[in-house]
Amino acid sequence: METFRLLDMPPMTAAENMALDEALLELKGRGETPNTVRFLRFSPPAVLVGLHQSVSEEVRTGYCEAHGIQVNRRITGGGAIFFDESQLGWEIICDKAFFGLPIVNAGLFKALCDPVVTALAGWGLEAAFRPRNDIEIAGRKIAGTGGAESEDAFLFQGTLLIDFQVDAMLAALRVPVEKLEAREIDSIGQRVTCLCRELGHAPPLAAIKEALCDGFERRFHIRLEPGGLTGAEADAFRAKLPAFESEEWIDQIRPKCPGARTVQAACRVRAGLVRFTLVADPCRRRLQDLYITGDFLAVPARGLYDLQAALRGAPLDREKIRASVQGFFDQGKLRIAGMSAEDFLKPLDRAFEHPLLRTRHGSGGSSWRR
Amino acid sequence: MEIQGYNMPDDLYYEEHHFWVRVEADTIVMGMDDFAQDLAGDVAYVQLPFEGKKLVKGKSFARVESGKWVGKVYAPVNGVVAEANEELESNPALINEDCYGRGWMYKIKPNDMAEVEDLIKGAEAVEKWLLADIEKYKQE
Repeated sequence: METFRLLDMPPMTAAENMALDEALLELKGRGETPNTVRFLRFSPPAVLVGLHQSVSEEVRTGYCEAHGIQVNRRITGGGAIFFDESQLGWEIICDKAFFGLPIVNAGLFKALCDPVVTALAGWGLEAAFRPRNDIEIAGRKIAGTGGAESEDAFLFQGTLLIDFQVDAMLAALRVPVEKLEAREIDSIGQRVTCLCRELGHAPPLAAIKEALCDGFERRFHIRLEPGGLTGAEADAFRAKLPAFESEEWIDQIRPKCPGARTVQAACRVRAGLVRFTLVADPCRRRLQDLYITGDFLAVPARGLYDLQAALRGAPLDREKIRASVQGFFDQGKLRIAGMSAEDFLKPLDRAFEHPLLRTRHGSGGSSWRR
Repeated sequence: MEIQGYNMPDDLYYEEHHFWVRVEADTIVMGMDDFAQDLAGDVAYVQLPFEGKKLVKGKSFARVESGKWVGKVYAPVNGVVAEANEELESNPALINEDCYGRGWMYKIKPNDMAEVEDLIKGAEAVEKWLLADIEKYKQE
């Protein structure tokens, strides 16, 4: 049975946590450090954008500055997150060979989420992995993940919501709340859940960590042994920290053209009103986010959460989005009382008639600093 | 050649991380093969290294993000970057739509063109290698 190091350091600043991530991953990539499970906490609270996102598009920097929230950039992909003391971060820094898969794939994501699903099951919660990389309970996301690789190693990280401050998140991130109706803002809260909500209370942090450790040991068939940084890691961390505190790192990606735009369309069909709100990134041709609301009845309720999760980040392509929605109907993952898939898709078609979504932008995207 | 639904053109060389290579005069063109783009899912970002960047065979030289994962692109030969596909900056989905055509990623000037012969080539070898990887990465 292999032994992994358990690295559980006190809360750190955003730059410290990011610098340590990179130091650990690079050293692991060179085979100079043990396989590791790490817990992360942030003090002060932080907003972290994905490696390829621009701060100005994702973060309300004025609010963050006024409220002592640090802004930094992860070394992993995905979207911006708000990270305060009500969340626990977990990471696996490991040889690819441990899982026998040199190319990262959906099966690996599932395997990496299994320990956390197991820990949640220990509290009687029916959690499950949801492709590509969320953990959900009844369709509501309780943990999101992302990863990065370096030569023969990878770093996979996730955030487990212990409690969830939707107002603080909406204030710190550039969610287009001004464009959303009250029930759409409610729907942001509804598609996420947390331990507090599921259990009626937040277990002590130590108990959560213990449950996660137990999950890692059982699912990976490993033994965890608490340890600190090696000398080489401490040196690499110190050497990297100034770069992660610098604007060159945090502001590395600058938008070349206007970022996300919100397009809405609603249709009244037989059984009710359906409203699609698309947060579109026309430059990168991505559907950044999607809110489907209305006075219809969705069965099962989670079908709507799963559909929105599946479409978040998808290519901004009407036919592909239509096909995904149709697939949910065909496979029985979502039914809407009194509506066919065609009825349900009418507002989507109307949204795509909007000039913003019809225009094809030939240039744009983000500028890379090379 | 089509292998279990994956399009693997016969005239290409393949690197073990599933990048294809085509020889064009004294440079090579590379991109993700059909298997890799399928495993990756929607490609969100592609890093475009500067012209002249030195590459070490087998070592990573650029990043690709898909599904919140920041992956690496490995150099199939020793050489230097001659060109990166600028179109991928605004439209990385080209890799998913047309991985052997408009979704090409980089042109490289190899130090020694003979190194491409170390890559996987030929219907028989490609089929054996791909079938093994399909089995290995089969989803539960």
